[in-house]
Amino acid sequence: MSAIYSDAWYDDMKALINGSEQLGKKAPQTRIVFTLEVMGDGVSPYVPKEGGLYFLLAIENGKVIEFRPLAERHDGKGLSFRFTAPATVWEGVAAGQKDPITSGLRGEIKVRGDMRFLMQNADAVKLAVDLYANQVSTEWPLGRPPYAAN
Amino acid sequence: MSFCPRRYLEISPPLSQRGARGDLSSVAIPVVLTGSEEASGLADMLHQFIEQTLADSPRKVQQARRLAGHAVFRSAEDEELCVGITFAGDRIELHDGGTPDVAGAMITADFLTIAHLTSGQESPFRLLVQRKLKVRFSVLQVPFLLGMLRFMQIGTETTPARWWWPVAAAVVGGAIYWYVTAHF
Repeated sequence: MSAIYSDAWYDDMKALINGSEQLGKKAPQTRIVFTLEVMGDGVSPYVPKEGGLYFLLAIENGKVIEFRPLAERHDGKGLSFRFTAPATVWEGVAAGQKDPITSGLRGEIKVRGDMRFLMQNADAVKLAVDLYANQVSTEWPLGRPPYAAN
Repeated sequence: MSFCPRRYLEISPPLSQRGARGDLSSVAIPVVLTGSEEASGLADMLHQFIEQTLADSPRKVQQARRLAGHAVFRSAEDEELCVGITFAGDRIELHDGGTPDVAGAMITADFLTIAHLTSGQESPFRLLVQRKLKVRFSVLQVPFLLGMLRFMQIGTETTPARWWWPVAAAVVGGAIYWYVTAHF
């Protein structure tokens, strides 16, 4: 069990993805680079209100080959996708309280990138988000969502 | 009604540019997203999908120019999420939200079903029979719906024309089957 957004938490996530035989089979063989943008919203205690956490992931052959936090928002060059959402949304997904696909359809999670590629690999995307949502044991040292509004 | 055109071009990825061919500016069709101030993800993704499809394929541009009609996409995950799509020859309009016209064509499906349909992983006939895809339409709307389905299928620009007719027949058959089983 590891604390949300900690290095250990992302290592757990990476291990889950790399350990998923099903995802390895369904994932595209090409290299995909994307960022996750966790935006402070004044409700989550884990991200400053005006700040954000930015993470870069590179996946190739269904395996995470690179995962690292970024000091600032990626300029977009060379990115395949950008996923952006308020911290409470990401944390709701991580706590298994929000369905990430529905959040994406509602616009709570913004997606930028090649939608045709996303459609062609939707099964892999679904597997990956289900891993994120349901299989990482997360510690919530500052409290677990849903949070009381400030 | 306010017009709020959106672009996805802030990302310059290898994936979103794959297959791009030549200068398409002379044949491009504007895709305009209207509706609520903050677009739903369904509307935003459809907008990106259509723009990218047009940008990558002159043949898809030709297909879109020949289409004239209106349909509503509704999310099965959240039936409040509706996006109207109008093909008007020289432009495509997406209208986010609102109440669908009861007489209009409506397509209801979840994300994975739409993905399987557009990527050709599942036939529309099979999805209709399985009730994963629900389509409400009048007979007069069938040609438009088939044309729109063809436009939205990824990679069909390289498919021989004869491939289309069995699929069209399957869609019509599936729709009739669905209508009969749903109403009688």
